[in-house]
Amino acid sequence: MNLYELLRGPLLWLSFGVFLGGMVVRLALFVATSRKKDKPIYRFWSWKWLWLSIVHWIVPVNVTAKKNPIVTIVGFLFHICLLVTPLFLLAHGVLWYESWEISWWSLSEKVADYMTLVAIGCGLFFLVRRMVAPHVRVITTAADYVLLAVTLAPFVTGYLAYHQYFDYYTVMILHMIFGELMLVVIPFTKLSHFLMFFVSRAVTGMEFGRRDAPSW
Amino acid sequence: MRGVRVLLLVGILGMVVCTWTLQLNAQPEDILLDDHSVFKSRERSPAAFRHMYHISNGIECKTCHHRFKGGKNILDETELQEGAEGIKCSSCHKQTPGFRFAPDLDPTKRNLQQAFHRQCMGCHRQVSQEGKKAGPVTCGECHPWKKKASQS
Ligand code: HEC
Ligand code: HEC
Ligand code: HEC
Ligand code: HEC
Ligand code: HEM
Repeated sequence: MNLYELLRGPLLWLSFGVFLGGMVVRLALFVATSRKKDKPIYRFWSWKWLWLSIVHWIVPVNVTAKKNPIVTIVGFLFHICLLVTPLFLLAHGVLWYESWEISWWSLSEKVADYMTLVAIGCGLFFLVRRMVAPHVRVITTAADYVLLAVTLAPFVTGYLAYHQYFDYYTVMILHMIFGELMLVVIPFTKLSHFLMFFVSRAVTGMEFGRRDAPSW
Repeated sequence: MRGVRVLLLVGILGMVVCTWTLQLNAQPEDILLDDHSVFKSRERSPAAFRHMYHISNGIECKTCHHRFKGGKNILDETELQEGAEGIKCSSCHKQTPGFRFAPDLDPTKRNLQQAFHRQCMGCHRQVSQEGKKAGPVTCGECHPWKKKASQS
């Protein structure tokens, strides 16, 4: 089995497995711990405050958005490109079809290409911010830089592959390695916030809501 | 005597040339798969396909060309002539799947892009999984960047 087939077959399975399985375990652990340590939240369960909190933080109508509009805008752009580009990339869609005969809507490649650049640009903004903004710098560890690199690597290599810069085949292999690495790393790091965000926002919302104080 | 021999020789030569050109006629050498009838605005450069190269690698016509009826490939190989009706993949695999070429033939589930990718990449991946030398499997190898730029 050559490198391509290895990355396209068994290792892809492995990385999706670790990613999905890992997130299920993360959720289960969270629920188990809260059942032991945060019983009140179940007694004061409120769908209203749960949704109000999530909605307020998923659309930019909260304190951070007012205090820090630039960070909010860049953050939103970044996350949109981060999620939408790989999910609706034509090339990824072709691979899904080849493996599973499933297909869905995809972006035009030009649009996806610009979104890739936007994602990389926003990532660089966060990198510079970590290095220069004092209040961010003090809470930054090496792990933050590594995670940012792991997140950007699939975009940089994907961009290079699409434009066929450098040795195309090698870049393609690197892209698959970095893409799979990113998936594997998610459950074990703060990247898991893509899911845990909803959980913590829900809990915080209900906790504050119990006292009739909005958490946003 | 001598005249007859020359005539025979010319005759045989003629036959060889005729069948040879007929063969060429029946089996195009290299094809730039650029089907404007379906791909009206392209995302990528058209794929180059060395038709004869594949055939001389021992792949049979009916591995790629088909006409399905009840799940069986009923294509008659003598129908495979350049320009003949229903030979081009786009005769059946259209922009949207579901087309039925003739009432008694199967409908297709694949649009043209899916049909090509499944056929080309599917075989290349299968051959490479068997550990043999196969054709390309990554996008850029079939759709090189340069040609798209030169194509207006
Ligand atoms: C590896 C797959 C493959 C094999 C094997 C193959 N073909 Fe083809 N052939 C194609 C593809 C793809 C086309 C392009 C069809 C199109 O443009 O829609 C084509 C085109 C043709 C055309 C031209 C159709 C037209 O009017 O443009 C003829 C004739 C043809 N093939 C005959 C044959 C014959 C005869 C054989 C067996 C000796 C054969 N092919 C084997 C894939 C194959
Ligand atoms: C006469 C109509 C017709 C023509 C011409 C035709 N197809 Fe098909 N094709 C079908 C039908 C019907 C099916 C079966 C239903 C399906 O899988 O979509 C099919 C199935 C396929 C499949 C899946 C079959 C499998 O073995 O899994 C591929 C791949 C494919 N076609 C590619 C091509 C290519 C490439 C060409 C041109 C060389 C072509 N088809 C020409 C009608 C046609
Ligand atoms: C049934 C199997 C099969 C199908 C179908 C097939 N190929 Fe191939 N292809 C091969 C094999 C095997 C090779 C490698 C032959 C070798 O070099 O030993 C190859 C080689 C190639 C190459 C490299 C040729 C070179 O110059 O070295 C290209 C490009 C290619 N295929 C394109 C295509 C395209 C485009 C299609 C679809 C229209 C296609 N192939 C369908 C089996 C297939
Ligand atoms: C083995 C060769 C091969 C590989 C690998 C391959 N393609 Fe294709 N592709 C084709 C063929 C053949 C067609 C149909 C003929 C054509 O128009 O070039 C096609 C058509 C397309 C089309 C529709 C025409 C257009 O430009 O809008 C797109 C888009 C496309 N391919 C994208 C991709 C992407 C993305 C990948 C990588 C995931 C890929 N292809 C990998 C052979 C290949
Ligand atoms: C989750 C992690 C991943 C992300 C964020 C990601 C993102 C991207 C991006 C941004 C591009 C380039 C888009 C452009 O500039 O036009 C791309 C291209 C591509 N990606 Fe991914 N990707 C990921 C994982 C993967 C994996 C695991 C595979 C394969 C198994 C893969 C296969 C491809 C292919 C084939 C291309 C097209 C390259 C070309 O055009 O030749 N990606 N990806």
